[in-house]
Amino acid sequence: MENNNKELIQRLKDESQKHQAFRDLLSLYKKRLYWHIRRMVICHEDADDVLQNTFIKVWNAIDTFREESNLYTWLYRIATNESLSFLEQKKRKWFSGDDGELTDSLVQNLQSDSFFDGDEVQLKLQKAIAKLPAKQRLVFNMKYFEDMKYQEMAQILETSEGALKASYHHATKKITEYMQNNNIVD
Amino acid sequence: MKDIHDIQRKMQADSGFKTPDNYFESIEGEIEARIQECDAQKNGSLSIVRALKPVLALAACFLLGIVLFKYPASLIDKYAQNNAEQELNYMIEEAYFEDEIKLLSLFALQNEQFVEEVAFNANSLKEDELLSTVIVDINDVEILAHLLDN
Repeated sequence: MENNNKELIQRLKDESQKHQAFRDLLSLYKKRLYWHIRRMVICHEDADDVLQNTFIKVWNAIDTFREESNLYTWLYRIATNESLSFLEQKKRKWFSGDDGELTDSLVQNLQSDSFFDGDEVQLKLQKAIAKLPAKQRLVFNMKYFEDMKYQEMAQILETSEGALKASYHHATKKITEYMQNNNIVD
Repeated sequence: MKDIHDIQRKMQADSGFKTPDNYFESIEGEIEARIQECDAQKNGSLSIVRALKPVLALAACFLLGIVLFKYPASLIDKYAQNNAEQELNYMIEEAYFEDEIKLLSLFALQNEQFVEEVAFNANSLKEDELLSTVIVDINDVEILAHLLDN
């Protein structure tokens, strides 16, 4: 996988192969990045916008990619930053910087989202996740849904493994409490 | 590293989210179209600058021609002469003001000497003499007459 990525990066930096290499990159990472973004921004239309912006940034910045990290780590970092800035902009533009209002809106969108077909437990779980602070939500999603190693997460989020473990622990505790209060689990 | 498709299946299965039909098939085309748009905009703005360069150079030459035609060399000479006269007048005025300032400075120096003399006389007076001068009951008419005499 790593060798393939190196070859892909070389092709991406070669003007004559750039377009074809980018198509390969898209088909390799579009789904992973989409689901990563979708879980952060919840709504499909928003996830679509953020995904497109992520790949445009990748296209514009690929020549400056210094290969100090894995390609997928770099892509995840861009997608994560794009998702967080999207949520921050949304909060400032529509909810005058209020975290609570943004959370309520995410939960409401989820209930009316035609692209969400989860059962009651999944809906409650998503509501509980939506109530977490953005960074805890990010850590929880990466660990719980993507089963990512703390080492990889630390590289993407540029933080220590200890901090990530603590963050995941707090997130799990809050979600369990929410589920218990809503009679989902005993 | 886990198989990428396993992760994708797990991610979709657990979260309850779904996408519109054929979304992942169409998204590549949309992204490529947006990238082409961005590249075209970049190239477009560059080519506009390139295309405008000779036009701007021509416009600058044209403007220079108009300026030279409207304000021929003789007028420019006249303007320069007027400027020289104005400058001379200014220099004369400046010299006049410099003299004024010197006079004022001399007056200030003289005044300083006067103030120093007064201060010296006041210090040389004895305390008793000062008190007696202050205590003496002099009415306003006497003070006025004294001043008029001096």
